[in-house]
Amino acid sequence: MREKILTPASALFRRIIIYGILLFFLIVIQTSLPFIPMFRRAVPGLVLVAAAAIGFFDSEYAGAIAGMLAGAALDSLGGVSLSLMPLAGFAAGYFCGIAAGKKLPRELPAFSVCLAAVSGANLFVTLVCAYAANSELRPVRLIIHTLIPEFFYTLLFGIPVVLLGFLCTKLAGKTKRDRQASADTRF
Amino acid sequence: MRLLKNKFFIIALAVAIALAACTTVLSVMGVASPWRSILGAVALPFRWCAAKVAQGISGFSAYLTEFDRLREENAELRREVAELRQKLADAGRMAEENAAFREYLGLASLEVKLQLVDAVVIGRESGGYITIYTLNRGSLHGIEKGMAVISAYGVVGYVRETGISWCKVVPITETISSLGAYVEKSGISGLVVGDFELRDTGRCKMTYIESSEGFSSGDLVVTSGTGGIYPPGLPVGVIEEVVPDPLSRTYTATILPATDFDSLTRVMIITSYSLSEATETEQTGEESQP
Repeated sequence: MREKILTPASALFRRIIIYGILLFFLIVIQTSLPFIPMFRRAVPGLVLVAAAAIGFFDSEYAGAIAGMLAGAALDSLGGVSLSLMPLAGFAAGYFCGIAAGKKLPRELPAFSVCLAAVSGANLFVTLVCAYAANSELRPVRLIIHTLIPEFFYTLLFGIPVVLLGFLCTKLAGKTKRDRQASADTRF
Repeated sequence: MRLLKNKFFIIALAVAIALAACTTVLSVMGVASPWRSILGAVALPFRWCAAKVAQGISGFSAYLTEFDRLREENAELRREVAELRQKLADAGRMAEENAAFREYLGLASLEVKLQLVDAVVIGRESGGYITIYTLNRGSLHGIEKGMAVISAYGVVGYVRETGISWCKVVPITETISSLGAYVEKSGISGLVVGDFELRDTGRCKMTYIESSEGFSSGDLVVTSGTGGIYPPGLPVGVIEEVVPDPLSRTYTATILPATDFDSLTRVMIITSYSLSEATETEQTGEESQP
């Protein structure tokens, strides 16, 4: 059982490098987007989408670990008061990985369901962080100016991120045998 | 329940909670852990490049969409420059008169001397609910938590956290920012704080104003120097409107900050300041008058 989930060291190293570069690139982009006025009030959750894509196209283990570390890095580089991204990244990577293969086929069109779910989860994180920063917020204003644009930005700008994530998982050399091993070891 | 029997899930969840808790605690304490410092230092050049690209995109789109508005603004600014030139001429005459009266009465005037470090904005973390700027200066450059940050036009905010080569700045438009200020013309004092609704329009508010008389829209608000972060006399912004506070007997004024936060790219960090009696106008080394 244990042999199935282990990958050769070189393949593992290659995955770490490829996913690391992808997530670092997205973290830098996500923290630079507010320079563009369009994204000043609502920033798409690109890192969360990438973690979900890794979980979906690779395995829930890779997705969970990548999401957790990327979330921690994003919150460390950002100026948040309440850090929820490690948890959100972990959940996105893990549950999208679980859904893939069991509930949904591991194909690009099927990921649209996960993309919508991740966009919704991103809103929840924003909502909690917003109220942690200021409890006197007016919900209507927050919904109109922040949450709704953020949801659609994450959906829209998540599409190229998903493609990028898909290409990276291909580049990382995830084989059918690995996927099967991952699916076999669930629960 | 099956999830709770999965060892990987339990361990990873515990690690994720620990990471989130550590990051939150360190952020609240304003302490940069070695992990945050190293990550910030590694990401610094990449973020600088990404910020430049984003600013380029922003500038290009503004060129396409805001040409007419900029042309009108240019005409308005030309008119304002003509008025200010006239006021400058009057101010010069008044300064001479002022100096003569001071000499006659034997009064000394106070001068603020600032030690400044220039910095570039390389990050602008905005979660839609809070905006924090990241600057390319940190503890290596003598930057410490609680230092004031200014632009060429006025107050920007204060340093909330420092790393080796970066620091994070809270602007005055944020709800977690507050500073003592007064209306320059009348001396009426109040507290300038951020407001969630006003920050969307790049504005903040001045609270605890005891009277609505003695100032009008367009009056300049400057820092009072109370609190120890900001030196006195720095421009904060101008008053736009004053309304009675429904919860108290005081008034609240909407302030348009002197600094344009939308186009903020270069700032100065005040590493120290001193108040001294002015004898003659002098500027040496890094010291300069705001």
